[in-house]
Formats: sequence, structure tokens, C-alpha cells
Amino acid sequence: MRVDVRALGACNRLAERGAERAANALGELTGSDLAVEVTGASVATGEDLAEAFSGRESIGVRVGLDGGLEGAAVLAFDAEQIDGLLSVLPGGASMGRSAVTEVGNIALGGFLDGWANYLGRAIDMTPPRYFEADGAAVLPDGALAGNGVFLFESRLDATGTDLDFSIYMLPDSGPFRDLVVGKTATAATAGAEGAGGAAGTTATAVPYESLSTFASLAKRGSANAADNIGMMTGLETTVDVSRLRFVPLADVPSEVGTAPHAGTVFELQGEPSGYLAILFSEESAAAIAEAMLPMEPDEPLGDMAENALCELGNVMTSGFIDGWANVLGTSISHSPPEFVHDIGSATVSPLVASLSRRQDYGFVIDAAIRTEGVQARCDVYALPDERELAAALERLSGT
Amino acid sequence: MSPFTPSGDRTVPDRDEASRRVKVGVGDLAVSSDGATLTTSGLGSCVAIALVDPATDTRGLLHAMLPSADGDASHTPRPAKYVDAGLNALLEELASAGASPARLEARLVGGAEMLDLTAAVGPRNVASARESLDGAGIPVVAADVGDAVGRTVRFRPDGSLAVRAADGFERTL
Repeated sequence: MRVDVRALGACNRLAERGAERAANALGELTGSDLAVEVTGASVATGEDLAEAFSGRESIGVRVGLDGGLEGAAVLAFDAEQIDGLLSVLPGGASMGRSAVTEVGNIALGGFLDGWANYLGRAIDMTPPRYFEADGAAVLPDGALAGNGVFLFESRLDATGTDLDFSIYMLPDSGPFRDLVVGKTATAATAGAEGAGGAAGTTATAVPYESLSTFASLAKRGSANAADNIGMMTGLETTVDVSRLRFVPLADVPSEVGTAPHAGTVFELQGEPSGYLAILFSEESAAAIAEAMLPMEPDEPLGDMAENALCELGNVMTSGFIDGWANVLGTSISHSPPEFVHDIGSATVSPLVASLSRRQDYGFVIDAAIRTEGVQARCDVYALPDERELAAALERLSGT
Repeated sequence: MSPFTPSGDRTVPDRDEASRRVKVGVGDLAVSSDGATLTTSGLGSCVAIALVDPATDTRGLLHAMLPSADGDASHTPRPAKYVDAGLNALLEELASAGASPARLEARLVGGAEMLDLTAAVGPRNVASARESLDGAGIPVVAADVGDAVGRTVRFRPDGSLAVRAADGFERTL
């Protein structure tokens, strides 16, 4: 049983269009412009998700799905933003809970319309239930129990006001599996807008059973990288998040954001080849470099810091790819580090451009690694070649 | 990292840009004939082509990643990924929005050499943009391209293009 990467792409486009409809619905209601920033499907274990969401408080609504698509969907705002949300809603703060429920209902309805149209089957939505949740309790029921579940998520961003929200959809694995691997997968690919690939093109397929391997790829790599930082700097390190997501490559730069970043970029050779970027905020980069240097550098991000960050990048990348090579049973090597210090999204755009010649979507592993004592945190973006990763996973599953 | 890091690009709109803002993503394009400010951020090796018909104030902005759609091997070709195909798509949208191809003028931004690893993507994007614009008979009236610096642009309703570089340097084309 294979997951056709194109079918996954088609599903992702649906999630993207659904998110756009949700944004329009909410934009009309609040009179603000909303844009869909990122839509992705993540593959993660329940444990990873619990870690990823820990410490966050969310408010929103959840609905159950039946019919064309089964499962659950959630629309969530950060609890901190709730006053901002209420201030732009008709009725304002006095409406509170009922206003949030109404917004959630409209936006989720818009989101699911897109899927229903495409599937040619109505999706029934249970009445929205309002919730206030800590941590991963925000996620649809069942997300935490899974061993490598698909979770679709979209982040929407208001250009004028400070109003972001996320939509999470967890399809029941059985019917969804039929959608991406069964007969419907072919239909999904052919019917998807813009799919139009010539008949006979070799599809990239990933064994469904390797989904949990995907999740462990992300995990093993980041844990190794964090251990290596610890050994090198003597600082205690924690992996905050690490997971593998399937996203449109063009979304990666906006996810990295336009804040200035410093760090290192590597090219990977082997199976899979690709790129790896380790990006720190300027403050974090300066702090970790200073912790590694015997004396305080003349300038926070000058030559000495650059050398330290390159050295750190080297050991982290070795850790990452050793972890992958172990999981995949392949060998992967990396180029020397290239120091980068610029707008984050501008730094990753050439990497995305290079991969974009062959693929529109990518499996992105992202991880956040934090050091204790010295306040530093970095985001790691691994961008493997889709076909080579799929091939390695396929060999692994022995199918 | 939280599942999606705050992008940090939520800038306070300029006073003269209280108008609607339309974000153009990577490999994307947008056209405005209603006075919206078109913005695109994080231009590294990518190139932005801003076109305006001064007579009708119709403007369009393209943020392309790669020089040419020739040899596209991805499953779902998206014209705006490419300079050449993206420019054609942008010209079509501008024409349907009422712009006259003969009156269009172009401003060109980006195409930096961000990384040695992926050398030459930026310059090739710029060369492709100049060539495609030349082929379409559209004059390039201003450009801020090359170097090794990321840029963010705002295409204002008056047809001017504000460029901010990663080092904080700002200029108007």
C-alpha cells in the first residue's frame, strides 16, 4: 500500500483552498484582510504533538465530520489573542463565547466546503463545540493516540490586525488512507486543479506503513543534533519540537519569516540529497557563539562568532544525517557549512528554488533546539529530495 | 519551535499605506487596480518584477524563484514559479484588469547571490527577467538587483516601489 505523493499534494491543495475560504468568511465577518500563510500536512506521533503544543493555551471550536470525510476538525486561536478577536467581531466582547463559536462555525464550514465540492460528497459537520484547552488538548480527538497520523494544519494571518488562527483537521485514518492510497488516489490526482501531469509520469509513492518511520526520522535527527551541541558546548539542550511535514515548498520561506536570522546552510549528498538550514535569531546566534568562545567577541556576529556557528552547524548536521542514515540504512554526507546572516526567508529561498525544479511539495523536517543556561534556540529546516527520500523509505519497508 | 513560528513580518502599515495590503507569496503574483499596496518579502535569489500602467494605475507584482519553465519536472507546473512563464501570466492578468501592454513599465528587484551552494540562481533570474521584459517590449525603468542581500518590497498605489534591504537600507525606485 503506497501513499501517492501527488495525491497527498492534491489533498494539501484542498486544505489550502479550504483555508482560503475560511479566511474569506472570517474576513467578511470582521472586515479585515486575512491571508493563508501556510498549509501543511504533518506526520507526527502523538508524543511529538504533545511536546509541540505544550505550554500553549487555545480557545476555539471543534466539530466532528461524517460523510465524505470522517474525522474531526478544530479551529483555534491563541488564548492571548482572544481580546483582539472579540474587538473586531460584531457584538464585541459582550458576545464572548458565542461570538467565537459563530466565527468557528463559519470558518470551518468554509474550510470543509472545499473538500466536499472536490469529493463530490457532502461532509456533515456536528454542531460546533466551544473549548478552552491547554497544550495538545486543542488537537482533534485521536491525534495524540496515533502512531504517525496525518494532521492538516493551516495558519491564517491578518495583515491589518494581530489576528492569527489555525485550523487542524485529523481525518480518520481508514477512509483517508483510501483517499491517498486507494483507487481514489488516482482520481484525486487526476481531478486536482493544475495536477495535469502527463499520463505515465512515474509517481512518487511512499509506503503507508512507513509513516511512523517518517516521524522517527525527524525525531532521531534532532535528538542527535541536540546531543552534539551538548557535547560541544557543555550546555544542556532540549529538543522542543521535531516533526516531519508535507508542505508546498513555496510556503517554506514565509514560514521562516522575515526577521533577521544567522546560522549555517549545508548541502546534503547521498540518499536522500537535499539541504539543511540551521537558523538562529540574531540574539540567539550571538548568545550561543559567545558561550562557545573563550572570550567575548569584538562584535556579536563577527568573524569569531561566524567560525563558532559554523563549527556548531557542522556537528549538528552530522548528528542529523547520522540519525537519518541509521533509520533509512543509507549513507548521507554533507558539504562544508556556509554561514548566513540575512532575512530568514531570503536565506532559504535559493534552497527552495533549487528543489523546486523537480518538486512542488516537500517533506520538511523542522526542529527547534533550545539550550539551557544560555538563552538560545534554533530552527532546523531539512529539505530532502522527495523522490530519493521516498525511494529510501520504500527500500526500507521491503515492499 | 511552535508548529508555525510567528513570521515576524507583521509590520505596522505606513501612514500613506492605510490602503489595503496584498501579500504576494513566493512563486505567486497579484494585480491591483483599486489602489492596494502589493508587498512581497524575503526576496533572496528570487526576483520581483513590478509592472505599472501609469495611465490606469493598474499594477502587478510577480515573485519568481527560477529563470525558466523549460524543463520543469514538478508534477504541477505553476507559472509564477518561473520568471518567463510568470511574466506571461502577469501580463495576461494585467491586460484583463485594463492595463495597456504598450504603456507598461517595469521595476526589477532581487536576484541576490545568497549562497555559494546555490550560486548563480539569482543572476540567472535577473538575466531571464531582463530578457523576457525586453522580448515583451517593456522598458525597465529602475532596478535594485544582485549583491548578497535579502530584500522586501512594497509596490505603492502611486507606482513607486519601496525596497528595504536586510541591512536596513531603504530606497524607492
